[in-house]
Amino acid sequence: MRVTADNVSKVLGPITLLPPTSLTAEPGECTVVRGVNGSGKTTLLRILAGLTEPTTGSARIDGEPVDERNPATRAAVAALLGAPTTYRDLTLADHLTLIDVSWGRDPDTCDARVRAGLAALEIGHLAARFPHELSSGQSQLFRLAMTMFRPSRLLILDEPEQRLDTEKRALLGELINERTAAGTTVVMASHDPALTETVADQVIYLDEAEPADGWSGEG
Amino acid sequence: MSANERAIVANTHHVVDGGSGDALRKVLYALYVSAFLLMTYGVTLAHAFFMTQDPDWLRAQVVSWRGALVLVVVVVVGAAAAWRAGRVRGPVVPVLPWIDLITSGPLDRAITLRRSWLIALSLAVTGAAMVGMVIGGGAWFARVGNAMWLVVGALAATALGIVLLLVWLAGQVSMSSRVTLPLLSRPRAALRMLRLEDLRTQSSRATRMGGAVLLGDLRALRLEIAVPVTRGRHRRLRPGRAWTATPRRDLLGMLRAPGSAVIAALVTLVGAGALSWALMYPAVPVVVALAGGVVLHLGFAAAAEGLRLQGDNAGTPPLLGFSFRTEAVGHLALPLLVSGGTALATAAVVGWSREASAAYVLGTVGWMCLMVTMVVGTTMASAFRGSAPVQAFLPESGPIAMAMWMARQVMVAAFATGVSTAVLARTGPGPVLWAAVFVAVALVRWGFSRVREVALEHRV
Repeated sequence: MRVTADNVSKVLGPITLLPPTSLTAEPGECTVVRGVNGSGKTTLLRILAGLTEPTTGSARIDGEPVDERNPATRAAVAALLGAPTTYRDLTLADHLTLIDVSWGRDPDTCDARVRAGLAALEIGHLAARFPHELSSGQSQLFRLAMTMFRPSRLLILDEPEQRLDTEKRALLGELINERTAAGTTVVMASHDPALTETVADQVIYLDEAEPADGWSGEG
Repeated sequence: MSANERAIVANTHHVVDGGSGDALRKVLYALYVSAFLLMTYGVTLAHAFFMTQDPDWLRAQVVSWRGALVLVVVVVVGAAAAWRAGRVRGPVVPVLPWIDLITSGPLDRAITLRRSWLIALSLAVTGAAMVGMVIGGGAWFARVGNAMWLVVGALAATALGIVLLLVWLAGQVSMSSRVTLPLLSRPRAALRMLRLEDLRTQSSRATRMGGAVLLGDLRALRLEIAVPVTRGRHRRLRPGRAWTATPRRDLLGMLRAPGSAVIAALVTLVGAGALSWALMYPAVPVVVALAGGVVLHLGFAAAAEGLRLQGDNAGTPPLLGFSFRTEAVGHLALPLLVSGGTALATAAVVGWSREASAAYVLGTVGWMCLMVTMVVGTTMASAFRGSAPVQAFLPESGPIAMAMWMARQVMVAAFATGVSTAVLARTGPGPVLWAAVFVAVALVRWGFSRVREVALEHRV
């Protein structure tokens, strides 16, 4: 899936969240977006996921405008942008089962997929836990498991390494490389140089958004 | 308890209050508002209830084993609720700075927490006495009983209020240590058992709950109150047909928290019972039908946890393969089964008790179908209410706008079900029937339009 952003920007009132930015991500490639806090990484990812309307420019996947309201976009794009809300009365395995069933996959092989989905992030032993019984790092692994479990051709991840230890970051790098090798396009924001080095086919640097409201931050 | 310690704490209260007596004023204001509401609505309701009963029958029931059974059920349910409430927010919860700076010190904990306890005690005693007077007075004014009913009602309710307060405190203490029966009669000892960390937890939770109300963050409020689910973890959601996944998810959630199904059914029973009663007896005041509508809406909503969770999820990147609307429809199945089924059964039983003819019972059940349809719409609108309006955060109009935003759906449910039921009871079938069908369809359409709007409005 080819992803393009052509001079997309986002301005809310006097605040520039994202200055005009362009990128192209080819199928099977991993694009890492880097930049200081407030430079607009998350906003760019939200635009690429079709969750936010750009103020200028356009974002497209395979030449079609990206819009989360379009079922085709929803079918193609899996995104981890902040913490998804989970069901407090479902276990980790139940969550993945629900996702699996909702995409109409073969029920006979569902259990095996669920086990594999959790094992891939090394949280198979937590299958019978409820989300509120996880540590912050385990919660992040669970979010990644849910996002990577649903079918997608474009995977968007916002700082997926947060709260993960060194070993788990390396595991995450391997999983992302597996996805790109399978043809999935990955666009992610990251502050981790080692992870970027492991997965990136291209790196986009965003400069800090200019303070359009005239406030310079200096006293 | 040393007099010296009491003096130190009294001085500290004086320093904190600045000698203004604000704490006392707040308690008196709360009592004033409670008395006002009870006099306005409580007396009317109690009077209406007793007016529509056969006095001889009622007197016989009160002194029979059935009356005793009802009393026992009320006490047991009330005590269970008080115990549970104590584990969320007990009667003794000072503000955090007081806990950190004073309660954590070497002074006797029973003294540093004494004011909070006395405030709770005075509110419980006065509130319970007023409720007892309203019920006893309602019976007296309706000539079901004499003036003694008022006195006995006040005394019995006060005693019950104190018992429930002690159980509430015991529920709070149970967070800190094992509660034994003798502790219930020794509140001072109970106060000394409260751990600092548990007091801090409850105080900060109370603050967060207040903040959630001010911000209109109903999800945060629910999560603060909800008991974390821990049971039935080895019961699995099984793979199956996609269209059954959402109802099966809700069923699994309900099996893991069966209390929610019981509460939903009981609350629905009360709401449907009140509406059926108002439908059959034109003498029943409109306020009873309105209250029945409120309770029916709450009962249906209590079974609609899945619908609310979906509303919470709006705006996050989709994980499930369903469309937003399909998922919402799936989440209606369980509430319709639990709450809708209870409402129809209640209407059938109440209708049968009045007139044992199939046509009459069918008519009552049919009417309840319309009422349930109405609360389906208001519950969907409630679950997908979205964010609070900007007006709710303005200093001039904030509290009222926030209250209106929170209560809008339940008020619509009350008026739609209550007014139509009251009118039907007074005029008989006719135009009101068609009007009710129209309102029910309009409310369901409102619910679905909220689903659509919430699915789209986050895209900015």
